[in-house]
Formats: sequence, C-alpha cells, structure tokens
Amino acid sequence: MKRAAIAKLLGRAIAVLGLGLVFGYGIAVAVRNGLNSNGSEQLLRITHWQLEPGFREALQQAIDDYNAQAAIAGKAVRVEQTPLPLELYKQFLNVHLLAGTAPDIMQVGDFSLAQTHAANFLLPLDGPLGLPSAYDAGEDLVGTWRQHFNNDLIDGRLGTDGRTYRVPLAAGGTQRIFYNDGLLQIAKEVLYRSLELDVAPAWLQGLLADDPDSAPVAISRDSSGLRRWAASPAPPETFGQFVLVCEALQLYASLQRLEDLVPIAAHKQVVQALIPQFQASFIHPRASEFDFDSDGLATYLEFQAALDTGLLELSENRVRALFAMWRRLVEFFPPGFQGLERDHAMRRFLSGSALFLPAGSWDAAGILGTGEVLQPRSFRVGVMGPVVPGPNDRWGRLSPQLANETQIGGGLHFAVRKESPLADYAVDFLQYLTSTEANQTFINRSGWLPIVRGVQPHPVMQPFMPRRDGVHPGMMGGFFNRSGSETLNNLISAYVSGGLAYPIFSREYLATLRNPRLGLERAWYDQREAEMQRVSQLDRSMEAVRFLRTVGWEKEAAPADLQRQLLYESQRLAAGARTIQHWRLAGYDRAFPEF
Amino acid sequence: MRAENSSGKAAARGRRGNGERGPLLLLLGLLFAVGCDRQTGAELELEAALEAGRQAISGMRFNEAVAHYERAFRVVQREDARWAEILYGYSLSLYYNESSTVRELRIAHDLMQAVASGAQEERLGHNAQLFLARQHMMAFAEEGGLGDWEQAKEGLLRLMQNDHARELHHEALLRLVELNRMRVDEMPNQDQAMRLLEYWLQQHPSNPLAGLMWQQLGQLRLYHSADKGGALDALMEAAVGHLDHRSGDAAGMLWTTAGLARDLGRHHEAVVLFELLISEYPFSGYRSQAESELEALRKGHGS
Repeated sequence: MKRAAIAKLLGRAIAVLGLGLVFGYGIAVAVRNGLNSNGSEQLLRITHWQLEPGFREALQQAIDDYNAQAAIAGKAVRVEQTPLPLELYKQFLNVHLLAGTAPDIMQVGDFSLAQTHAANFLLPLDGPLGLPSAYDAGEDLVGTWRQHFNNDLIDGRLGTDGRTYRVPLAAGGTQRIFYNDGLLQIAKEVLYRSLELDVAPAWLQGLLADDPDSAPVAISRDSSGLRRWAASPAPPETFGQFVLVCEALQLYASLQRLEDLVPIAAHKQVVQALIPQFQASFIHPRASEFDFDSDGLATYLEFQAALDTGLLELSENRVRALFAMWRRLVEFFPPGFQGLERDHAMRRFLSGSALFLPAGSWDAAGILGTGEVLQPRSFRVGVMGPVVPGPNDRWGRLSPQLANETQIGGGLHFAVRKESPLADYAVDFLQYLTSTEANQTFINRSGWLPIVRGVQPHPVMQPFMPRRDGVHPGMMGGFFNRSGSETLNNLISAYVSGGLAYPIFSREYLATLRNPRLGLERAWYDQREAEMQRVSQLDRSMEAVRFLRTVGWEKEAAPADLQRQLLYESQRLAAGARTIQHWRLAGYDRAFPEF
Repeated sequence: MRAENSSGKAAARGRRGNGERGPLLLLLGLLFAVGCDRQTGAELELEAALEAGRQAISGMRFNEAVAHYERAFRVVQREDARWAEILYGYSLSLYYNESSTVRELRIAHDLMQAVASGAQEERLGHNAQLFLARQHMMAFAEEGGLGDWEQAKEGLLRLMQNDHARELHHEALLRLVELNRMRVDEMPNQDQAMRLLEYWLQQHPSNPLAGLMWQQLGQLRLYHSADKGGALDALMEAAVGHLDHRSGDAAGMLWTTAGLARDLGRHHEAVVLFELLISEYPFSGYRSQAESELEALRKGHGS
C-alpha cells in the first residue's frame, strides 16, 4: 500500500515535471517566436530613427493600408514600426544585428555594422530589384523594381561587394532658409522708411555706396530696384538685400529692446552646413584649372593642391570676397552659436525670436506642416534659397553662381535583415511602399522629396525641389570638406566667426596646409589608404565569388554581372596607382607621401 | 544512402540461403554496415562542413569559414576529389579572416601555392595562380618591393601562356595592364600599359569593360604621351561606342571628353558629346553647364 502510494506520488511528480517541461518548452518557443508572431499573424517589425513630425504618421498610414490589404489577400503578416532616437539607434542596431534579433526591416545609414558588414547581415536586393515589382502600377512604373527609382539606385550599393542592400523611400534633402514673414515685413518697413529719407540714416550710410565695389558690405546706392523691392513683400533675392534686412532687424531689435531677437537662428553646425552653399559663388570660373585629372570634378584635394602650389592664392580677389561674404553672414548669428544645438535654433525660430532659420527639407514637415500635421502658429513661415550677390551688390561683378542640386541621391534607405524568416514579406512591404500610389501618400504626409518615378512632391515642398540650374557641385572644390583636415576646417570657422584677421588666417592656413602631419600630404596619403582599403575589399568579394562559381555555386555566388562590376571598379582604382598619378598631375615632383 | 542500401542487400542475401554460414555472414554484414555507417558519417560531416564553408564565404564571414574548413580537414582523405577545394577554401578564409596571425597568413600562402602547383590543369589551380599574382601586386602597391612586381608579372605571363586557363586570360591581361600602370613614374611601363590595352581592346572589342579600357587608354595617351588627338579618339570610343550607363562617372567622362574636343577645335564632336550628355543624363549636375557650352558652340560655329 505504502509502495503503491509512493509509486502514485512519483507518477504524479513525473507527470507534473513532464507537464512543466512541456509548458516551459512551449513558453520558450512562444517567446522566441513571439519576436515575429502575434497569434495567427506573423509580426513584421520595421525600425527607424526619423522622429521628426510627419514621418511616423506617414509610415503608419502606409502600414495600416498594407495591413488591411494583407488581411484581404490572406497574408498572415502584420507590420509594426518601432521608432528610436538616432543616439540610441546606432547601438540598438549593432547589438541586435550581432544577436540575430534585429528587426526585419531597418533604416540604414553610413554607420553601424549594417554598413560595414552589409553582406553578413542584410539581404541582397538585386534579385527582386531586377524583376517587376509586385505593385507595378502607373505609367511611370514599367520595367523592373530598380527602374521605379529616379536615379536607378546607384547609391543603393551599401557595403563594398557591389550588391544592392537598400532602397530609398524618398530623395535626399536640400538645404533652404526658412523665414518669419512677420519679422521680414517689419525689417523691410524699417528699411523702406530709411531709404525714403532725404539723408540716409547712419545705419544705412555704412552699407550703401555709389560704386558697389567700394561699398563696405552690401549694395550700390544707385540700385534702381532696391526701393521697389523694399516696398514689396518679397524675401531677399540677392545677398545685398539679405544683409540689409538683417541689419534692419538688428536695428529694430535694439530700438525695441528685444535682446533675444536675432537675424539668423544658427547653431554649431550651421557654419559648415550653410556656408558651403555659397562657396561656388566666386571660384567656379577657375575650377576647371584645378581639375588636374580631367575627370570633370575639382575635388577637395585638387583645390587644396592649387592653393599649396600657388596656382590659386588666398590673396586673390575671388578668394578674399568669398571669405568676406561668409564672415558677413556669421555676424548675424546669435552670440555663442558655436555652443548651440540644432534644437535650440529651431526653438528660437519657432518662438518668433529669429528672422531666418537655415535648415533642411527634412525639417519642413515640422515647420511648415504637411497633410494633417499642420502646426498652428502666430506667424507665416516662408522658404527661400541661399542668395548670392546681385549685379549691383558688392562682389556682384565676380559673377557668382550657386551650385545645382541635381545629384542629391536617395534618402530614407531601408534594408531587410538577411536571416529574417519574413524576408519575402519584408521585400513585399518595401515594394508596396515604393509603388506610385502608396509612395505618393507617404510623400504627401511625410513632407520628404520624392524619388519614385511619377510621384509628385507635396505642394508646400516645391521650394525644396533640387535646383537644376547652376554649377556642378563637383566644380566647387571648396574649403570646407567633411573628410578634409579638421584643423583647416577649424581655422576657417575661427576666421569667419571673427576670431582672426585675414593676413593671420591666410598665413596660418598655408602653414597648416603644408604641415606634413596635419595638412595636405596627410590628406593625399589618407585618400590612397582609403582607396587601397577599397581595393582589398573588392579583391575579397571577387575572390569569394570566383571560388564559389568554380566549385559549382553559381546561383548562390552573386548576381550574374557582379564579377564584372567588381573587376570594373578594381581596374578603375588600379591598386592605388590612380591617386599617385593624380598627385603627379597636381604638380608634385617629390615622392608620394608615406606615414 | 547508397552504402546503407548495399549493406542491407548483403544482409538480405545472407538470410536467403547460406545455411550454417548464415550467422557468420550476418555478423560480417553487420560489421560491414557499421564500417559503411562510419564512412557515411564522415562523408556527411565533410559535406556539411563544405556546405557551411561555402555559405560562410558567400556571406563574407571568413572567420566562420576557417572553422568549417578545419572541420573538413579532420575527416577528409588526401585523395578525395574535394581536397583542392578544401585547401583553396581554407587558404582563402585564412587570407581574408581579419584576425589571422602572420603565421596563419603564411600557411594560407603555402596552401594556395600547393593548389597552384598541384592542380595546374584545373580551374582551381588557375584561380590560385591568379590569386597569388594578385597578392604580389598588392604587396608591391603597399610596400613597393620590385621583387613582388616581378613575381606578379611572371605569374600573370605564365597564366596567359597556359592554354588550359583560357577563361582567365582576359583578366590576367587586364591585371598586367594594371601592374604596369602601378609604376607611375616609369615611362616604359606606361608605354607597355598602353600597348597591352590596345591589344586587349583588339581582342575584346565588345567586352562590357571595353568602355573603361578605352577611357584608360585615353587618359594614358593624354598624360603620358601628351597625345591629345589620340586621347580624344580613345575617349570618343568610350563615350560614343561603349558608354557604360551603370558607371557612376559616365556623365563626368562625357563632360571631360566634350571639353577636350572643344579645346582641340573638333567642334562637331564636342557638340555631339554635349548633346549626348544632356539627353542621356538629364539629372546630371553637368546639365546646366553643358547647355551653356552647347549654346556657345552653336553660336560660334553654326553647328
């Protein structure tokens, strides 16, 4: 009896343990699958860092529409978005890519393992891109999915193996200047009244002259259109007019004791973001002289080499004009702008304490309002492009021009996780999102610029459409360069912020340029190193593909023309010989720098 | 699977009519089956390791591939048909595994050398020869040792003389051009690069890389021979006959060639090229300037 009881107890214990094991296993499976399933539906996760107003709502609209269609079509999948701040996003993505738990679709930029090790973590999209999209619709969307995009996705080749791992939902942005129309009209009123006086008031006397070249900063007194423009509600059309309204606003702020009111809401990145837009203005007529390798571009290195070898001098009128104009612009920035973040500038403008705000098209949805996210505000906001000196302005005789913006490329790039069990659905969703109808709705609500053929920008985004006229941006050469010398960039910032006199600045600039460790030699060396690294990566991809093909893995190896593309790129770089040849063409007789 | 079937048949024959020897044959059959199972297990493991190695290389995960090929080494026999593949795959993975030590890189080199000399008639052997020549080229590019340059040249020439390696002749020739171009300051090498390019273009006029090669020939003529007319002829071939739309710098090449034609007074060609630039690349950054150039040329020369 006792033994029977023990046996019964043992049996129950075993049964409970067994049930527990089964239950635990069930939970483990459920937790694991829970990452990607929700009841009978599978959960497709999409993540991004676009937290500005408009984007999340636009994406949600597309997701809702897709989910509804998927339900009708009997697809057992439901899409959900997970927005994250950019600061968190980079770490989040790296950790989850390594752990194998990254979302099925993810926004990718020029950072994170998704970029450096794209082949490891991302699904190559060349296959589906080479076929018609599942959502082909509209006259403009014939042919393959790749052909849906305006630039045929040349910039989609994330990584170094020549494969396409990402598709853009929109075009990259453009930079513009937002203005507070109420403040603009006040400033223009001040200006108009001053111009109407028989004797120009003191503040204006310092700005106008009979000969524009001798005017201290702004505009010729004889400018026939000046009064007419001042009487109109139009924003500045020339740099001279821009300076005049900034000066007028400063006078108004001083008279009204509005200490917080400034002409331009700037922050620490503005110098390097705004100023380059003006840098083609004066030097472009000479840019072809610095295109030493005749590739149609005057690159940063070529431009700096021209300065180093004396082909272009810092004392030349065109160069001095450029720096003087930049310095004039920075005079209208708030004190201590080098310590301010982008959000400070945005808040200052939106609270009515700045006349101008230099910002990008990606900020437009929040500032102007698109679709249903219109922000009610006490003043009207206008948008204008950067301006150059007009014919009657100082420096106007140097025929300044802006660079065109035809090559802005793609923006909002999204990729699919290679190991995602829902990879097919992920591709399907991206095809849906880049179809004419869905993308049009997305563009209308998000306020981004379109990249899908046949999709029109939201009407309020028209001023942000890329400029077609102007100099090729590659002929700007330029002083500022993100990949250029940080020391040189800092020197320019110090000069334009008023910290250095021009003779000292030019002396220091050339000294730094010729400093072997900090200057141009280092930059040439770095360029060749980067090129060599790229050649090594190309070799690696080529050899992997060659090996796999030889052992009969034709299909898995790569798209049919990948081997050719890799060889093409490798031949172009010629194992670093291109940069050495370039160095010679730039006029250097000495040996290529080594460190 | 085949091994299991044959052992099963042997066992069945034993059961059918061998009388007293039945138990003994059954035992032998079982022993044979166990042996076959072992063999099958090894084969399966080899297959799995090779499959995983290929998969890892396909995903460029060379550190992972190293481990798979090491696993393959443990079970493979030297005479196995896949021996060369394992040597090659292991060597490749060691070369490109970022955490390989110098010793491992030496092993990788020796293994690749073994494939190159041991499988001379086979594609993997030819690939290995090209691979080694390329390694010497890269060593020359990084360190400038002339010994490496000579070895790379020798390896490429040997490959080009091998009738069995025809599929790699065109790439080997291109690498030989590249090798000569790498000695930027040596005129004889630049001349040789031009001659080789001309030969390659004669042999492969419709190869998808022909456009780039015409372009390179044009640049070499321009910079090393100062032959502007010859350069323009080559660049025209690249721009008109072999324009590669997928190339990121095709518009720039058209712009440069058109400018050269204009400077040489060959205005008709300049007009054709500017028109081509505008029609083929309407979104190019050169468009606005090309339109101005075209207008100026038409005004000046009524073309």
